[in-house]
Amino acid sequence: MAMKYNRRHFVKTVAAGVGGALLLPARGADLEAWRFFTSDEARLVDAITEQIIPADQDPGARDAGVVNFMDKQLAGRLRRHRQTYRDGLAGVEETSRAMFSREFVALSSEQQIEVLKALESGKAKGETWRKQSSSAFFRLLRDHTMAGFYGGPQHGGNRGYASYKMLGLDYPQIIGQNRYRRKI
Amino acid sequence: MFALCVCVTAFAAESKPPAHSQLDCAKCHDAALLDQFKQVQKQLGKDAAPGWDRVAEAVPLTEAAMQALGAKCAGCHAEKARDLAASGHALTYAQSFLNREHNRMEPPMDDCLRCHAMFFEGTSRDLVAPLDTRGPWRMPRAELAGHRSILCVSCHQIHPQRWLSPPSQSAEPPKLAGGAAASKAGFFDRREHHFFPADRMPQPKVYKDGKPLKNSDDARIRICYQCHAPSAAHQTGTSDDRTLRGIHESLSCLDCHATHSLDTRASCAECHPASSHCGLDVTRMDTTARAKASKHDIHNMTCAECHPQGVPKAK
Repeated sequence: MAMKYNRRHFVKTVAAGVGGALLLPARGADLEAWRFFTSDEARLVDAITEQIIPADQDPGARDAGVVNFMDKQLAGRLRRHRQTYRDGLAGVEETSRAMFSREFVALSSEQQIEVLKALESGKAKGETWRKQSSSAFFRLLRDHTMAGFYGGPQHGGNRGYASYKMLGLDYPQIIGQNRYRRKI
Repeated sequence: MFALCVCVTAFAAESKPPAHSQLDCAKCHDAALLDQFKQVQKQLGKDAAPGWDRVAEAVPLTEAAMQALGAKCAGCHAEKARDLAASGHALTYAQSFLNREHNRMEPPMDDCLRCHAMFFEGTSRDLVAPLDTRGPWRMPRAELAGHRSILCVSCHQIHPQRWLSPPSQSAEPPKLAGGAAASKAGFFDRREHHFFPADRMPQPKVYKDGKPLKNSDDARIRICYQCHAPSAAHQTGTSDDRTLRGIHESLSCLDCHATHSLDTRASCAECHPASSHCGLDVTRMDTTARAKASKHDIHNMTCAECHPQGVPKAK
């Protein structure tokens, strides 16, 4: 009879694992689920990006793991935007509460769009937006959402090659190695 | 150090298990790796939510681990391992990167590693110098010279699809030719650090004089095409393309090549002379793609190349 491979079986198997050559360094440090975002920020970013690229017949930003892209990049190459995100996301919540007395993720889709429109127009309410431009923050979010959705999956987004499938792009591409062939 | 997604969604996989799922993980994997994986799973929680690649980042596999895995494969698949070791795919890094004929034509570059050092944790600069067409070429790290360019896991996805893929790829792939073998075949894409199952890879589209060639629907050839690929314009015969045209058009690579040895010596006889039109002893003909001057390279031979005045009547 075929054995069902489930969590219990895996743990049992691991527990029974035999020793071998040590090929990997041990890592004892605690691992957080997110690299940069707090769980609340991640939920907020997930909701915002899903409004920017909503799912229809094709996957949206949520399915494509755009929040994972942002989290990964804010811990790496986009590190310079960390404070902008930290303050900006707090600002989004501030605006949401000022407009609808609720946190952004609890709003209806229409209300979320209203909040995002307020951000985009630069007319968003909240103390945060006295220090930084809400429209600039919206543009940053929008650009990073696009990058996470359409960019290469190795950067953390475009999960399952969602946008490539939507666009009908072959992946991995078939390209020969002699692209720079020269005569001798 | 590169990161490889390991069993990320294993716990969510409830589909019919493949042959390897009957095995203990420790049969193939090092105990230290398994222990590390267990710790990460515990810390991240079920299914490594929210970011599936968090496990891959936290449990990096080394090239040494991948090279060592080959010996574990050989423990059960000795005959296949022997066939591979005797084949043209048994290239070492030295053979791949110190190939003077090739390097004179095209300088070594990072893209070479896509097929010739998939799991190497460095760049072309670490493997060969100078990166030009003049040479002479040497390996800056001589200890790497004997490393295998092509490993079992270069063309085989050992874990089932759902274990290694992001959640949104977990839907059943379409059924394609190649049978059960196609479901085990997968290409490791170095750029993505991800295995692509053969049946999810793009179907090769290759053209001859602007007209598309009919290609086999055997999903396994999609893996061959990742390395034996035409140039960007997909014209047959360009780059390292071996697309069959002429009388053998639409055959699968694996109709003639044995999967691990790549041996073709007996394959002609499987179809010829039974279906041979002209009655030649095709098993003794010079049919290899390496003989550039041969009219009988089976990848592109046509009746007219041997019979310019017209094909004689069948004997």
